[in-house]
This record gives sequence, structure tokens and C-alpha cells, in this order.
Amino acid sequence: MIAILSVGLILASCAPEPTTPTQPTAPTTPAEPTEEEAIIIPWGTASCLSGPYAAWGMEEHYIQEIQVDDINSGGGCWGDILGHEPGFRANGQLYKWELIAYDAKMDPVEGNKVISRLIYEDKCKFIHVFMDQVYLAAKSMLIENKVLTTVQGDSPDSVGPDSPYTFRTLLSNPEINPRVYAPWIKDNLGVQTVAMISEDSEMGRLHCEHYGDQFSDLGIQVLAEEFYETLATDFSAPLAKIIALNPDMIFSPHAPSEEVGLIVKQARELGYEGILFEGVCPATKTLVDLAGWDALEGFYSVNAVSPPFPYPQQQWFYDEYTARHGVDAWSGGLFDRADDPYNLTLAIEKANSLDAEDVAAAWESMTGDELFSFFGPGAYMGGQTIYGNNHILVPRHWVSMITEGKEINVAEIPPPPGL
Amino acid sequence: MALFTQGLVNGLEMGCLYALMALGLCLIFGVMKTVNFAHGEFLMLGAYATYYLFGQIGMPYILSFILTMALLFALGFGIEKGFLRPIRGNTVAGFIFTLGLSMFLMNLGWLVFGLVTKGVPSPFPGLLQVGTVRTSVERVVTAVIALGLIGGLMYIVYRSKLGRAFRAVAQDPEAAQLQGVNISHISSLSLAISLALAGASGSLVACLFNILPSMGVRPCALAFVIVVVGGLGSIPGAIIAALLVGLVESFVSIYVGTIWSWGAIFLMAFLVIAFRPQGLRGRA
Repeated sequence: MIAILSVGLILASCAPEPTTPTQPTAPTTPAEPTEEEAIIIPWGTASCLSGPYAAWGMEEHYIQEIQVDDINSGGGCWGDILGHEPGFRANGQLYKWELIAYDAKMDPVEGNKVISRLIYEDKCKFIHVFMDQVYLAAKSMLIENKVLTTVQGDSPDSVGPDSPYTFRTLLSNPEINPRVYAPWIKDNLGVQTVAMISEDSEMGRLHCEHYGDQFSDLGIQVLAEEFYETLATDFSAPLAKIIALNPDMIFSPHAPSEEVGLIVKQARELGYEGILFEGVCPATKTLVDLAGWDALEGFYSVNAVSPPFPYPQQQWFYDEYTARHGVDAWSGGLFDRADDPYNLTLAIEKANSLDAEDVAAAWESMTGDELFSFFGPGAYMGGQTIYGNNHILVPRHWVSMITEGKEINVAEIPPPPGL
Repeated sequence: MALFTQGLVNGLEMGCLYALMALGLCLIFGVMKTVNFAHGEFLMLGAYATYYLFGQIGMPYILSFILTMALLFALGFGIEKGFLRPIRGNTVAGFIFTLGLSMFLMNLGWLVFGLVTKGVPSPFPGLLQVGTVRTSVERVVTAVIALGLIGGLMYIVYRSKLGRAFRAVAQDPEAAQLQGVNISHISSLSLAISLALAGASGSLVACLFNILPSMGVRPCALAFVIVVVGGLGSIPGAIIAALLVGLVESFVSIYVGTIWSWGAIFLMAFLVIAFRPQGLRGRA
């Protein structure tokens, strides 16, 4: 019975549909030219969307969503400021991005799984990786598959001739920041002695080493270098040692705001009245939540820009980000990680190709107005003298300070030349 | 000498807080013979309760502190009656339940409370300086509150009828039952008090440090070390061990380096277990 019914259904579906006789139609006006169809290409990201570091990972994800929407729609930055049509072109074909984000949890093992999926299942030829340890674990897979990779990290092992298709997107570089900020500290803050406190990680020690060298070269005496375990919360012991030495400045060259906020709070609780300076971009709301405006009075940080913004792309990004996620979610340090989708896309257009080798060659040759930076004009592709290739963006640098319950810009420093 | 005194003060302050963190774990093990792997997550819940009551709503801190303890106390009753009572006596089931509860609460925390680290303003701002030794008013108040609660618990356990019942159940539940002690009621009370102490610890930690769903992991690990070093189920042992842990952490941080402090704590635990397996005040 079932077999008969099934056969009947199949025959019924195969039967031609009855047609009605066509009627002559009136002439119509010529059709409007249709919008050119763009090919969607995936841009994969090995993000950090859960766990203790998810706050940074989610911020980066939000940035990427905004950039991809902007490029695809030819919106405020890509369209109005940079003068591009919606999408981007290579070999005459119009393309648009599709953001595919997976949670690598900032863990190398998870990262390998995620990147493998992005390459082999989603066929991504462009991938962004959150943090060096995830990139380094999947480095050979990315290079073998000729994936144009951007890395949010500052390890020297992530860039260089053995990473021919990899570009660094984080603008806080351990080798570059000290060359910019140490002289500024010397010239503007009158610091003679400094004590450094940093997390005990490869990057923490590297930042300390480079800053220590720069301070010493400038005649600033480094009284102490204290290291603590990542995610530590009680800094009373190292701070007690440091404060006993009475430094002009306590400097944290490489630590997230979750730790810096507590360092500031506990330093002030122990009666320290000198300068407190953070060597990476801040998450201001976290700092304020942990330390309070009073403790943060006179606190300096870098690679962050606060309103009023001098450049239109900064204002646009601030408006867009706060419209989507609220003013409370905003931090001037977001600019530090926001350049790469635009420069990647500009590099594809310059290369007129989607091939990783062509795009990499084009990207490292981009100069002047060919490059984009939220930090302002004058950025260039550098790193040759440090890493062996020009795969990092050397931007303008900024110093900001918290005073009277708000964060203000106190210095805008041109990119250091010759890197 | 000044640095030594500073280290001593820091170590004792933190030792008092660690003792408060560990006593809840000690109590529940002593009475219910249950290892509560979710102890750190209850501390986390106490911290978030303080964040919302004191930090967001603006309730006076002491009131929010008491309310936090009360909420966690009630939660303890509910968990014992609903989940632990049916598996009482089954150590493995209790182990698995509390482990699962720990993971559940932490991940629920990420979902409900969000990803961003939070903080609360200091309810007791100010600096205290005696000679060259400096500390914050907040840390001193924290130590005083912790000592007060520890004293209260000691009074209950060693001077009250309820405490006699706790000790009777800890020694021999069957004999205690034959003497008319209501085991279910005592178990519920011990878990409720344990969670209230965890909540109190969380409330104090929230004002000193930061608040995030994974904040309970390190305190829980420390609490386990303290309970083992002090002697399983021994309240005086846990107090002594907690002060030792605080002092080791402080002095190693000052004289060797902060990155070595946890290693030193675990080395101390290893040595105690190696030479005195029952712990400092445990019975052989």
C-alpha cells in the first residue's frame, strides 16, 4: 500500500504542470541596471569568545563586525572617508567579506582545531588569529596552505621571513613602543628613577627588557623589575618592595587593565604618590571600576585616543561602536586593534589578486596614503630592521592621561622613522 | 627590618582572609564528609551579590554583607536538601556532584554576569601607617571581620549545643543519631554555614580585588591546601595553616619574588604531608 502511494506521488510530481495560454503584454519601460553581484569570500577569525580573556576577544570581534559591515556597505569609513564603493575589487571582480568567527579560547589546542576548520571546511584564505600562542601552534598549517594571516599579538616569532604571509595587527610592539615612549617620558615627565612591574610572561619580560634598555640609555635609573603570575590580584608584596625604593614612576609595560587597575588601587592604598604609567592600551572603564577616578588621577597610558577626536575616522568609529554597544563599552584603546581589516582589503586591491603571496607583497610595499590607520596619517609598513620584513604597521603614537574624572589626550607622536 | 614588618602585616592580613575562605570547606568536610569543589564558585556568588547590592544598588556595605551571607546561607539549605541529601554517604557521588556544580556555576556566571571584569568602590578607604609599615584601612577591616566570623564559628562549634551536635556527627554519625541528633538538619546547617562563610569571603574579596566568574578557582585551590595542611576537619588546624600560607606567600613574594610564592605554598604543603600526613592538627 505504501509502495503504491509512493509511486503515485512520484508520478504526480513528474507530471508537467498545466499552463495557461499567454496573453499579449503591453510594452514595458527598460529595466534598471541591476546591482553587480559580489562574490562573498570568508574572512575567518580564531577568536577568544569565552573564558577569562573573553572581554578582549569580544571587543576585537565587535571591531571586526563593524569593519566588515563598513567595507561591504561602502559606509562611513570605507566609503565616505576612504572613497571606496561597497566591497572591494580584484581582477575586475567585486568581492565582499563574510566574517566567520570561532572560539579558540586563546588556547593553542583549541586554536589548532578552529584554524583547521577555517582552512579545510570554510575554505578561508584570509584568517585573523587572536594572540600569538594560538598563531604559533597553527603557524605551519597556515603557511602550508598559503593563508594570508593577521595576528593580534606582539611576539617576535609571529612575524619575520619565516612567516611570509603573516602581518601583525597589534600596534603595541615591545621593540617600538619603548623607542617612542621612553624619550617622551624623559622629556615631559622629568622622571629620574623608575620601577617596573609586569606579568611574568614572554611578552611581559620582553617589554621590560626593551624599556629597561631605553630608560638606561636615557639616563633614567631602573630601581626594580618585579614580575607576577598572570591573573594575579594581590600586588601588595611587590608594591611594598617598590615603594620602599621611592621611584619617581611605577611603570607597567605589559599588563591588561584588569591587573593594572589593581596595581594602581593597591599602590595608592599603600600611599604611593608618584607617577603611574601603563605601557599598553587601556580599558578605561575596567581601570575606573577597579581603582576609582581618585586613584587614577594623573595616570598615563598609551596607544589610546579620547574625544574630542582630531581625525574623522576616529569619530566615525567611536559613533559606530557606541551606537552598537553603548558608551560604557567604549575604550580609547580599541583603536590599537582596529586597522587590519582595512589594510588587508586595501592590499588585496593593490595586488589585484587574492593570492596570499601577491597580497603580502602588495601590503608590505604600501606607503603614505595607500595605508590606513585610526591613529592618524603618516603610518608606514615597517619592521625590517627588527624582524626582517615589513609586516607591521608603524603608526602615530598617543599618550593619554586620566584627570578630573576623564581621559584626555596629552601627546600625539609621529611614527618613529627608519624601522 | 621595615620590609620584614611590612611582610608580616601583609601576611597576617591575608592569612585571616584565607582562614575565612577555608573554614567553610573544613566544616563541610568534617560534618558531611563531602569535598565541596564548588566552594570557590560560592565565593564568586558572594562577590557578585556584593557587586549588585553595594556597587550597583548602593546599599550600605555592612547591610549588603549581611544580606549576602543570608542569601548564601539559604542557598546552602536548598542545595543540601535538594541534591546532597539523596546521595549522603556516597563519597564518589558527592565528589562528582560538587565538581559538576563548580563548572556549572562558573559557566553560568559568564553567561549571566558577563565577560567584563568588575569592581566595587572601597567601602573603607584610607591609609594606615605605623612607622614605616603601611596598609590600607580596607585590609585591616577585612582582617577584623574575618577574625570576628572565625571567632563566631569557633564559639558555635566549641561552646554551643549546636556545635556539640556538629562534632558528634563529625565523629560518628550513627552514634550521634542514636543520641537524638537530627543528621539531616545538622547537614543542612553545616552546608548553609559553609556557604555563608564562602559568601562572606567573596564579599570581602570583591572590595579588595576584582570580580569575574572564574575568580573562585585560586581561592578554592588555596582553601584545599589549607584544609589539608591544617588537618582534614580540624578548625584550629585550618586557622594555623591559613596564617602560615599568608606569611609564606608574603615573605616569599618580598624576599624571593612573587612568581615563586605559589610554588612555595605547595612546597610547604608537600613537606607537611610528607612528614605529618594527618596535617598540623589532624588526628593520625
